[in-house]
Amino acid sequence: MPSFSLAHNVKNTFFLLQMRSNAFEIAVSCHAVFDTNLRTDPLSKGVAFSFIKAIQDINEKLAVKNPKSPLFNVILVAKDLQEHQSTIVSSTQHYGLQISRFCFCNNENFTQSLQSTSVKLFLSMQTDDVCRALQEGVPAALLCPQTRFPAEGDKEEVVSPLKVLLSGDAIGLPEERLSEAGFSQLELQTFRAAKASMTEFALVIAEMRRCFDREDSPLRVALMTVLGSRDEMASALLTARDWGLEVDEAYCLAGASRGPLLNCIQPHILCYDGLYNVTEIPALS
Amino acid sequence: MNELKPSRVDHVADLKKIPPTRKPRSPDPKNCVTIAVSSRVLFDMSVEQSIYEQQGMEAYLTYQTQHETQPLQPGPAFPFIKAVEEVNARLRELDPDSEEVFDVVLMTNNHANVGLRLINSINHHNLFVERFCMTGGNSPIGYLKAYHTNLYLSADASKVREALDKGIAAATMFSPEKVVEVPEKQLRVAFDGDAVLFDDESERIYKAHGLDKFFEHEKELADKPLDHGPLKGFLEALGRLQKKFYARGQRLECPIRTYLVTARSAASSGTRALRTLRSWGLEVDEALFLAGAPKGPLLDKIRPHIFFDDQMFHVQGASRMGTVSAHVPYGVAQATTPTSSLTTSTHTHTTTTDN
Repeated sequence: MPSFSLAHNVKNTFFLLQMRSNAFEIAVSCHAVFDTNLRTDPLSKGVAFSFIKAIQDINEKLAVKNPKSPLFNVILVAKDLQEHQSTIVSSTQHYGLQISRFCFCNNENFTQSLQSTSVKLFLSMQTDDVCRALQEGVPAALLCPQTRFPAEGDKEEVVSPLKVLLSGDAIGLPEERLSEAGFSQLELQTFRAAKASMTEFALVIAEMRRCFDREDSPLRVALMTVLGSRDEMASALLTARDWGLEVDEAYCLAGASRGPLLNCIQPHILCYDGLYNVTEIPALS
Repeated sequence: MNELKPSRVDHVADLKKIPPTRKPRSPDPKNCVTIAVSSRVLFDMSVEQSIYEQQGMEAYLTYQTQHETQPLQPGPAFPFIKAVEEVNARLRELDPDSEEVFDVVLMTNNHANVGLRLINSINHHNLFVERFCMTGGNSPIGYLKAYHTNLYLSADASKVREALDKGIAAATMFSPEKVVEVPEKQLRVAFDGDAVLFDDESERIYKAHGLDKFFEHEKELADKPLDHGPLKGFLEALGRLQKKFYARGQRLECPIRTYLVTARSAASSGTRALRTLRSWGLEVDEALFLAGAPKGPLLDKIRPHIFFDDQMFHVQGASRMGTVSAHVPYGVAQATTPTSSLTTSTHTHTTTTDN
């Protein structure tokens, strides 16, 4: 029985994406895109399937608005799915998903595989995977399952606008405050990594957004501080402005539970800063 | 590499210069009494609002950004919120760690661009508003539930109605026509009875069958409690906080005082009102039965920070004399409500940037 101890990168021969030099590579977990539990061929759509379609829609619009704009380049990361390789690849073709590369790996080494692909953002619905990636130097963020689905029988809707939630704490909260508050070294390390990956992502989003008017932008940006208070939010808003990033929504929780609010905000991408794994967090005063 | 904008205005530096008063921790929304206010009632944004209405969103946002370091002036809810903070200070003296305090949340569908001006204004006025939602155009109603909101105050009547439909106590605030002094150290909240604390059962009788029938009906049912109205829960929340002071022998110096200001008459229909409150285990500090007389002069004597009524007629009358009044668009009185003729543009039907 062959053992797949090394990552297996497969260049997608079925679709050739015009690789721009300023493409922003995102790696999306296959488990989000397809429902890999059901042994169907093609695979059924997963909870984040519409997200990929949304990314493609954004790419198309960007290409029209500004030929020089960075585009998203999507890599599909398939963890422990080696035996489904061909089904996965053919499913992406079946649904017309523009995947530039596939990365087949296993749970032990997926972060290494990602490092070797120089991906700019790894997206997964699993908080643990995101944390691990961040801790091992791979920029990562949470892909959020949407609770609002189109009804059965509806023509497939493209998710628009795509909402990105940035962590105001990562932008505006000074690290000293965190160590004072008793966060561990590992948590601080994750925080730093999250901050760096989020910054780069934010700059690309900013550039993409500048191609659109406020009214018709397929990208929407929200900022949320959980631990910091309004001063940190002010700092984060000013930093976003420095980046040329248009922020639409801002939420300052001051320690309130983020679950119910996230249900209202409904982001697609959540730039997790690694600071909270529990639902009730006291605000730093 | 992207070009970065030139170095930022020194907001943050300014913010850091403000001595960090040892701020208490914000309480868990489940435990405290949450009051959500929109930016247009906390602050006076009449100039900005007319820019939005006449020149559109871009002009509005540009204006706000250009005037970012210029703090906004107080709006109609400002004295109420200041008084609420006074109560919090007293509550914390009683019990420094208790989460049974007021929490004020800024709930606005403003764009985050306006955020800096709002934060600067909150800082300037030394308000303790740590939580806010700027939904960038989305309805704030879902967020009210997420914050366990006990009372929502807005300038936008449609949002208030939406909140009431979802079972959240809410009222549309209007700026009074003149400014009168209100107490700084005691929070005073005045409520109308029918269709505010109580449901609108009796008002329906009155509207359908007239005053005589109303009296008859009330006399017959004097012992049967009325059903609850949209603001009963808020009175209840105030009562819980009041009891904390009573328990420490501070009834006379209690920093919260509640008033029932009703058109019912003490001699007859008033009985049912009082009995209803008693059956709920609630009390008001003062029950004022006007027997149909205008409420304005009486409210002017009381000087409440806010007065809730379901009838625009009373809201306008009180406003004229300087009382900060809030309309609760609930019940049968709304069907025949005349459109507002108050000085502020708050009661418009155009889409607003913000509530």
